[in-house]
Amino acid sequence: MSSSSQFKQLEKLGNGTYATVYKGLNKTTGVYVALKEVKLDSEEGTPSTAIREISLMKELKHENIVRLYDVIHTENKLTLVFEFMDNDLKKYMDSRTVGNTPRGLELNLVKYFQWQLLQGLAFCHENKILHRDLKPQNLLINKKGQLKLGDFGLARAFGIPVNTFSSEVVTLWYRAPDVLMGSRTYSTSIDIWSCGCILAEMITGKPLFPGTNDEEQLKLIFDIMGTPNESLWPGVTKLPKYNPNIQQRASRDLRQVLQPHTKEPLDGNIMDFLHGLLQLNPDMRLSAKQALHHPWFAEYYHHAS
Amino acid sequence: MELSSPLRRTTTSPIDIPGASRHDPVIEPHSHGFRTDPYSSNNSSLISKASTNPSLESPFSSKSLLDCPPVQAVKKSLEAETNKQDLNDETNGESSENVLNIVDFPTDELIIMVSALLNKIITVNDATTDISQQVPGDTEEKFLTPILAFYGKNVPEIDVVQYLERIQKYCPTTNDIFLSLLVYFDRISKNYGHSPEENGHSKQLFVMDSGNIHRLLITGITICTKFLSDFFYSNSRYAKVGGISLQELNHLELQFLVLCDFKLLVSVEEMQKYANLLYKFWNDR
Repeated sequence: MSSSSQFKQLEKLGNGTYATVYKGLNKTTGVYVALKEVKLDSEEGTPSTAIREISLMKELKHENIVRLYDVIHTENKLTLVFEFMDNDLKKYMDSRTVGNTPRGLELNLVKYFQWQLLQGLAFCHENKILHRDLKPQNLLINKKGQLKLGDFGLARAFGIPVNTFSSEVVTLWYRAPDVLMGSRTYSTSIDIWSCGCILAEMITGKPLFPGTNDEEQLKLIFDIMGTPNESLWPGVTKLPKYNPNIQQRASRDLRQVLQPHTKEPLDGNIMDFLHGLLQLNPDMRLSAKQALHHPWFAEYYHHAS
Repeated sequence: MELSSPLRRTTTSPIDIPGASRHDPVIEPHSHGFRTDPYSSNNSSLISKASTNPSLESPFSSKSLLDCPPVQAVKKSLEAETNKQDLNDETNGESSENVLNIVDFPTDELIIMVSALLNKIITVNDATTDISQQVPGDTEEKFLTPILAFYGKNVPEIDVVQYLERIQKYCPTTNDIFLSLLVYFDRISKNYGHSPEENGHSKQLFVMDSGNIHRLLITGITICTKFLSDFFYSNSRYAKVGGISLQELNHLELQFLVLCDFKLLVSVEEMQKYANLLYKFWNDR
């Protein structure tokens, strides 16, 4: 276990709801790190987000998951020592905006990022951990083009089907329709929906479903993906917040929605892949492992272990 | 997934707390929120009711004047208990009568079983008076600090089963939490099973006994629920139910995390193993 004197605190990298992140320098090794300082609240003690992040990330050692090197604790503060990453995907995409026009990433970079995202996620799911807050801000990137999953504060272990899952998880824009309708029996497919939203956002440079509340979020999803029914999604009408009076809509051609926002042609492979992630019915979504075997990734297969 | 305990079904499942649905927090894009205490935003909460409820007075009797026993050397640990069971398992094979269904098993019964196991351990540990109580050396002190934190001035009089039932009544939780506690206690026993003695003599530093069991339980349940469940209460509520101050609970929470080396993840297989061992202990007792 390190001591705080081992690190030189440099500039502030960001403020989270429960933590402040600084760049740090390991004085012994000369290696840069990210120091996430967690204040221990007098009412709540150690925040659950910190308990989850530390316990889960200690177990998850993978090249596409930000590495937690160490935890330094004092009586009123915890400092999580993370691998340093240059940027996050949200800031990176924002930096490419020209004037007010967002620009998507080149498709070969989109593919490389998506591949790494799914590699990291597949590792989480193999280890029976749901991330539950995948979004561009939580995907960290570096100058080598590596992408790593970060921020496991909402993550949890799954496996024992106990009745203690909340449907108030995942940032609204990336939240799956089954969760929006109040499902608490979700599993790995909750993260896959987020991956689909992120993929579309990388292509166009703007969020696919930017709702402002649960109701609008579902409307935006159904506007493009069509409304679900019992034949396409058995059980959907039994979900707690299913609205039987919702106006029925047919699905739109997703390619026509996305193509105007990118110069590169979207071929059948990428559209089939995206549809595999953005299935309304959670049981129909690809698993992370299946997604990695999709023909869109054919050129990467030989890299897979 | 419905829990099978009739009590839980009708009233106090942590996810079906009355009033909780009225406060539906939305995690907005670019923010990071998490619902914590379903009671906290409700003025007519059980917390305020509870403060006038005599049964929520401190569970620790102030009558007991027994002094806190210092940490003692090698004692009966949960590990030893489960290892013994392990051996039995190997000879008997795994019989289906000892497979505990973690999801459906009634929680009030599980609490009785967990209490029986813990009681057996602390009774043996309490009876083994350590003659070699030494003043800890410098190297030991660092390891002992988090362990000693769990001893109060007095041994609480409330017994383990009443204590757990009380916690379950006011901070209801699920079977996986109680089973995880057993795993954590074993992990701590292993982490603190050998002190760095120069004479090569290994010494059990962490021992569960009647002096620390209550604080270990309330702290463990607080942490484990915050880790495993999406529904948990404020530390102030856990402290009140557990009969310690909020400040002490916050301190113990951090010490418990240190004792576990911040490793709280329990695999399904590991949890099932402990569930079955507990069931076997119960059936064989």
